[in-house]
Amino acid sequence: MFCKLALRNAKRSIKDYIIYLITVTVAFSFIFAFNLLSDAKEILELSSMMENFKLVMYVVNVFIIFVVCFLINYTTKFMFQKRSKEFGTYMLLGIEKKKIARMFTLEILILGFISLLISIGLGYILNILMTYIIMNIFSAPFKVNITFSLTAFLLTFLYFGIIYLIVLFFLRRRISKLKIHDLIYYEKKNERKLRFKEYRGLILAISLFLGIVALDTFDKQFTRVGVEPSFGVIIICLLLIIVSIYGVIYTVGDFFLSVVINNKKIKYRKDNLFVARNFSAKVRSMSFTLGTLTVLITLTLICLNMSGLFKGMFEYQIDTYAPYDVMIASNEEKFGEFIDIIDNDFTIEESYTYNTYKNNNNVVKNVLDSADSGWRDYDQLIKLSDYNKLLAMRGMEQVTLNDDEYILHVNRGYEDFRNNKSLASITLDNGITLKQKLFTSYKFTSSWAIGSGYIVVVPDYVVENLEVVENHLVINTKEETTEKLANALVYAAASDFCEENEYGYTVCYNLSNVTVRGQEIANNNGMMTISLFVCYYVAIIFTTIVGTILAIQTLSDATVYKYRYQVLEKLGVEKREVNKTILKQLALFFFLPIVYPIIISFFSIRSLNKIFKIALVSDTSYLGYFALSLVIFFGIYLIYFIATYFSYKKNIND
Amino acid sequence: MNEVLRIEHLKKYYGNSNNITKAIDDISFKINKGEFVAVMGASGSGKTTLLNTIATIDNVTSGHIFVGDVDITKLKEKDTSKFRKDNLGFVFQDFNLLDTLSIKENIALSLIIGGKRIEEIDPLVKSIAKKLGILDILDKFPYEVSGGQKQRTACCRALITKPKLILADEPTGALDSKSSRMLLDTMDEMNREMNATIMMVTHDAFSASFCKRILFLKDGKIFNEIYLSEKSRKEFFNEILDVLTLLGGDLSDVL
Repeated sequence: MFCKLALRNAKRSIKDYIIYLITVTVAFSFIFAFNLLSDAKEILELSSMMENFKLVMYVVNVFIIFVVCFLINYTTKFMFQKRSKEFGTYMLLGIEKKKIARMFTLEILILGFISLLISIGLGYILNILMTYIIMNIFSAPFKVNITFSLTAFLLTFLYFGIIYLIVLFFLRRRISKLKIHDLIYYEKKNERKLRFKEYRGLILAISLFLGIVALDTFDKQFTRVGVEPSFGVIIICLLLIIVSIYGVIYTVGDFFLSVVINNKKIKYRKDNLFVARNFSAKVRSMSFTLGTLTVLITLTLICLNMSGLFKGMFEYQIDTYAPYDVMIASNEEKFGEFIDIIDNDFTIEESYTYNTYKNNNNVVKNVLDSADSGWRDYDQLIKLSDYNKLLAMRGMEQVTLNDDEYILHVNRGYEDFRNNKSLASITLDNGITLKQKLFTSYKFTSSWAIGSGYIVVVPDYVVENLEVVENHLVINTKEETTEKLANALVYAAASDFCEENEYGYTVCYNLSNVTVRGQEIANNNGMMTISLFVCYYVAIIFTTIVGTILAIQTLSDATVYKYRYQVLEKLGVEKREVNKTILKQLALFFFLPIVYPIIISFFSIRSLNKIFKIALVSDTSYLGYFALSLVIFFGIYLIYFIATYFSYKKNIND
Repeated sequence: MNEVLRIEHLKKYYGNSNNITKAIDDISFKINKGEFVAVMGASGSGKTTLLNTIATIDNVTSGHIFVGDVDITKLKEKDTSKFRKDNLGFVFQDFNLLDTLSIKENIALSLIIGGKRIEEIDPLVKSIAKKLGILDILDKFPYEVSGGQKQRTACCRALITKPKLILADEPTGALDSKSSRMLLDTMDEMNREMNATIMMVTHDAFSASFCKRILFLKDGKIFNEIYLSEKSRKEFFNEILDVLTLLGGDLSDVL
């Protein structure tokens, strides 16, 4: 009977909390899918970078567990409150608290296990989907491969266990503290009154001020590349922003109300008064929860922004670091050996060798030195003819120079020196004076001048009696190069840079004078996959959880609000108008909490862009990533909003 | 011993030191076995608070409440549920039935949870349901039956444990006049034929006229007390109205 009761209650709860159950199922599916993914051999073998994937997943899962725990705990508390009268009845009939607690625990666990079971199936499907995406990123062959992974199962069950242990611990504690009077009269409780009402404006002002200070301090941490931001300050900024969010949410409902009430024009227009009163009462009653949700939304948007920046950076980086299939800077005596290695497995389309030259008086370096200009303690020069050939190999336009002119090609970190007067005219070691014809950072690649963030392009005659720094070998192949080729080349250049790893592969450390495009792509893909998947994972889970809690809150209010809407109708408001009011009210409730996070995330990505911009296509490409983040977020969020709106309307009109 | 309930100098205050509400202000009375007592009074007179203190839902400020030999003001919180199960039955205005359970299961719930065997419970439920005239709806669910039937289900549930005292809080409050009448007849029957002791809180004079004794509360104090004795129900009803007029209760509260 005991179990029967729990089972029946569970059945009823499934109907009432279907949105919540779907979210929990989705969350567990993702957890399971990622556990499968980080344990899949075929994924780990893709690139040496993917080892980190596993580690990152463990860390991220801690956050995810924390947030899922928040959702389940919140909903459990909520279910308990909504049914307090039922539990009060049990107590009146003389059923002990211990038994009531046991019954409710059983019910919660039944719901949990149903979600878990479904999520295993769903998790496999998600896993296949994600594997497909990853294989595509790496352009590796994909085949559906369902394997049983003990680790993934154990981890998922462990997370499930931890979450439910915490939730049930809080539930038991809540029940043991309960008084029967509170249970029976719970429904008569009013929405909360705002405490510190007289300080409302002040709290709002202080909170906003804190937010501005935090964003400004954050912004100042990112002056430019090379200036390391202080980790401590960033953490303090983050904390300040969180405090600010709670403060704003705590007061904004009432602020909103007072704006409406104090302006007679707005107050008596249509349903404004009704909507504003309902909204502020609601926000007041759940300000803490709403604050937490707003923090989650902020984190989601920041996360999505980061993923956009990373993706942009990785794509741009490949072109910057490895514009040619193979670049080797070494002594030209060894070039024959390298070409043989490449020729074994690849078809060489184009091959070119050139030199860089030393300018010892550092006329350029001395100016740029205030920024980080690499480890070389001399300027590197390149002949115009070589430079033009290198540009041609990348399909770029040729340039010309008069005999007394030079070009300074820098990476984007040096943009500040664009109109620097000391660089307008330089005199080299050998006494030749050149005027600056062009200062550009367009498609600069560090492979032209390893060890410097810039290169000086001079007319051919200038280098005649200058010392050669290095010989460079540039090769384009027909096929895409691979990590293996990079290893072989590094091995040939410096065998002590390589060692065997646990899977029996030879792994070589990056040697700065050997750049292989295939290796860069593999590394970048590894990094990109990790950061993209982690960001999207966090964003999806957070968004669904925010959507769920708002949906549950709204839908449970439908019974209370039904009465209010009936009053409106009795007062002569048309059905159509009532529906409009409903839409207005729900939209306010769902979308007002987003405004502040959007502002915060915009300013934070703008600050981050100061560092990221040198690695992005343009200075303003971050705006595109920001827009993309919003699109992704709203895509998920709107589903919850629409689902809530329609079930709410159905509940009201029933 | 004939005494079921004895209340001695009961006080229940709300609020803080600046603003005290005396919901119950020094009340003493007794209820003997087999009595059917109504407690009447205007809204805010302390009726429900009195009922809640007896039901161990509310704590008292001072004074004693004896149910049988037990002083329930001295009970520890964890012992109150066992006390309620063994001694009290409840009937509420809004029924408080569990909508996931059938009528039968609702009636039997406290016995089932108490661990009694199904073979013993079944005939017990049936015999009580028969007496209260809801035998044919035992397998239905609360949302499938009428308000009057729901309230009679609640009465069955209150009776089945054979409690010392049944507490009823405005049992006719949510019923139409016909169902109210039927329910009051049922309670009258419960009192006379099954010898149940009932204490009913109401502000409805008609409901109260079914009782044998009425306590009138005003501002937390006992204002008057009248007995049915040999009077007819009509006479008793008129007497109640007279007292209520004296009490100064609003007439809309009376009818």
